[in-house]
Amino acid sequence: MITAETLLTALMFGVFLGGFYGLMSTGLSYIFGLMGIADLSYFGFLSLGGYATYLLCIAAKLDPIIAGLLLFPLFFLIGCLKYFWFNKVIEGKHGAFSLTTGYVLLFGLLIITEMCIYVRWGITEVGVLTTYTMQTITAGPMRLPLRLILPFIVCLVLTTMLYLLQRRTFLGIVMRGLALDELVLSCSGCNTFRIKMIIFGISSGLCSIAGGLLLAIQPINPFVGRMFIGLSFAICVLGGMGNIFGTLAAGIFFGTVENLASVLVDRVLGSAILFFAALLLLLLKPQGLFRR
Amino acid sequence: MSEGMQYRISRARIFLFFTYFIVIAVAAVLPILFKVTFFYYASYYVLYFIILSEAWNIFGGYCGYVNFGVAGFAGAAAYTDAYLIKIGVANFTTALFCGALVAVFLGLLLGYCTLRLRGDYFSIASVALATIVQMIIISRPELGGGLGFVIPMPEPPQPYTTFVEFLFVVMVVIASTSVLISWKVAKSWIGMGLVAIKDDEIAAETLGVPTFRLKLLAAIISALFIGLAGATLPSYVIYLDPYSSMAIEVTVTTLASAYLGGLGFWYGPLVGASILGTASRVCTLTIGSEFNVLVIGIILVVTIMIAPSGIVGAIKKRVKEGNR
Amino acid sequence: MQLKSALKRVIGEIGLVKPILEIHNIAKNFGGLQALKGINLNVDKTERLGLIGPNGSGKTTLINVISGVLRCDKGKVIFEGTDITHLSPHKITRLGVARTFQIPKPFTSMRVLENVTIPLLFVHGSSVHNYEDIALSLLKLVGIESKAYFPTSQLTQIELRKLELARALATKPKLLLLDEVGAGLTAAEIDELITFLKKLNNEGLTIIMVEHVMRAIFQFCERVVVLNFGEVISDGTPKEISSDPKVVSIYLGQ
Repeated sequence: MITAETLLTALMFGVFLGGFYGLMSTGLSYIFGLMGIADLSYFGFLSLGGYATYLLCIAAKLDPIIAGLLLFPLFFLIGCLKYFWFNKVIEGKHGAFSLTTGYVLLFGLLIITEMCIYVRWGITEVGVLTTYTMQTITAGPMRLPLRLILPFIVCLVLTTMLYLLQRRTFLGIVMRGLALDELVLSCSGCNTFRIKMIIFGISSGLCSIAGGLLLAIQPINPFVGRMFIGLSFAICVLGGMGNIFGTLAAGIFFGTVENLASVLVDRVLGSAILFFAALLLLLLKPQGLFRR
Repeated sequence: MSEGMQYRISRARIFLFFTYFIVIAVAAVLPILFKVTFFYYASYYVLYFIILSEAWNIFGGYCGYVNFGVAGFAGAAAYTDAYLIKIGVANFTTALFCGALVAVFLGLLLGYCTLRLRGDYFSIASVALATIVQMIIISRPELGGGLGFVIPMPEPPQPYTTFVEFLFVVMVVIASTSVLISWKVAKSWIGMGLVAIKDDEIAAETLGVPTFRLKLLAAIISALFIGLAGATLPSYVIYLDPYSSMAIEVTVTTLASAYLGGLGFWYGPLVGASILGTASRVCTLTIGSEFNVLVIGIILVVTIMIAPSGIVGAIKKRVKEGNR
Repeated sequence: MQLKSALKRVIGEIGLVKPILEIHNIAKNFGGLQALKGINLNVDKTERLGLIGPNGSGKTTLINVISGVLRCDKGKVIFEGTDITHLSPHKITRLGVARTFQIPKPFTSMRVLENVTIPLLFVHGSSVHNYEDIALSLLKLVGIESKAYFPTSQLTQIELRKLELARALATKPKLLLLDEVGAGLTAAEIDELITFLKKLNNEGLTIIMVEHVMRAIFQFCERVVVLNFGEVISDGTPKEISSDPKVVSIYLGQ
């Protein structure tokens, strides 16, 4: 029996999850949106972020969200190194390498990352129990779990911070300039290599935070990043590449649709419906629903 | 075209067709003479990836459009084949071709939706497609859901005594055909057009190359052979489940074979898959399947880093430099 | 010379000879930037038209719209009576419109010869049997047949431009759109190019030349159209437009 209450709860769940989807897709849109690289290894780093957060939680008895945030500098550095390596292999060699080879390279990195985790931890999921894992807030007829609400709030805060970074700081302006016309930017005396490295760094750093958030929401397995591949790209494009709040909105939209569909129809079919809806939207409006 | 070149090309063509028929004939006769069953079991894996990587190469290597959803195409074909056999409406051959057709349909769908748009959309959508196919199969109880199902094993036709011997011959036929088709495409106007598209799609389009239709054609040929390979899987594994049959291991092994052997050469993936397929089987049996996939991933990355034209490319370069 | 163009105009007015290319009200917007604001232009058969204007005036955009590489927002392009506005580039090429690119786009995996074989194969595939010979003769025409079996990476910039031209000519066009072929050439090279193009024109090829190099425009074109900010601001003989105060002001910034 599907009641209005169930639907409303499903809607709220969708909104909260959608916030997470939005943040996760924002991390991807830094590389995909600003630089046009479909980085599949991002999803491996997502799992890596989750597992690294897990290790830190166990070792230092920290909350996963906080642990994820603390790991940001480390992952930022890893991201920079990733760009350094990517550039050397793909862009450096007299620029003769096509972008699709780059995709395959990053795909290989995805496999390596996931498999390293799998070899160490196996397929069994890992999770952390926090003080709020079981707690819910009662809002009217709904019981909303804190493990969804807290990450959502963090997502909102981070999204706002990233927006401010993009609009108000010099770095943000330069990054947007990179997306628009790299050649002109480099001619203006800007070190585009460093900017690109920073973009990769921010993106990977967000992986650790997203990993931590995910860990707070549910247990994770080595291949958890893979589930979000199609969804994240769809959210990126539909949210408008580089439009931070647009991406968040698109994420919430997809989260809500997915959750409502899984309640009304079937869990797995719900995800399938979501994919087809995304594909349809992409066909009709490849520039996205929001402005760039 | 000079007389000498024409003569050389037709000599090569005759030689190739000759080899093709000899290989099939030998394979057909082999199980009758050489009765080591283990060989036929082990060689399936290698032949499977020869077909997959040769097929993948037609669109991925010649044209530069990377298909990350190989596992999805193969899996869809496998499940179609298995389902048709299970409910008893088709025999081995019919089910095989039906499976292949399903893969072709998916290829057409994916291609039609994405090949008019920016280049990467095809690659990204191919990942999503593989996931969707897997999800759909898991959610359908008549396909066994997450548990999979068992396929009844038919009687092998005369004169083979076990089904796996017959399957070996079938695989050799498909594999040789895939290599032959790959060669034919490479030497034809299709191949030239695909390379032009890879080099500069806009220039190709303005010089009269019908890029969309040609890409779609390559995608279909590629999907056909991936489907043919996938459709043979149920007869080999007997127990089909959506996790192992559509694992990302399939995709990464296909890609690694193509890159290791040499993209863009019609016999590159043949070389790569032979080496990688054999090595990977040894690896799985000795150090375990997880390490196996890890090693394949590493091989893929390292190949791109140090030998981007693969083994064939590297050898050709050495020969050219030696000739100078 | 003036009599000829006057006669052409009269005949065009009467409607006896249709222009080979008709551009009706073409507009193109790039997310806020109006690159073309309603271009109206007719080009007659075997005309030698020059298209000039400051950077950003929309010249290359117009070429892209005509050749089908870009889709216009509004308007129509009619080639030899056929509406080609929404056709894909390869179909437009097969109808007889060829173009070169400002920065040459060679097929780098292939040798120079194969670069020319591709258009031969795809535009005239069924009627041509000896591709190599025709391709070689085209390379000879532009003067790079000695490099026929070389990879494109070993060509100089000028040779790459010649390859662009050879490829475009391989499609046996009736209308040729040249996008800044003259940039970076010496005066002697430009003269050589002009002679070559005039010969092609005499054989019936209509040529539209987008250029910055005025020497080429003045020596080659019988009619010049001047664009600025996506609009046609002047249309006439080279002499006429060079004394047009509107044209002078956009170049000298008065």
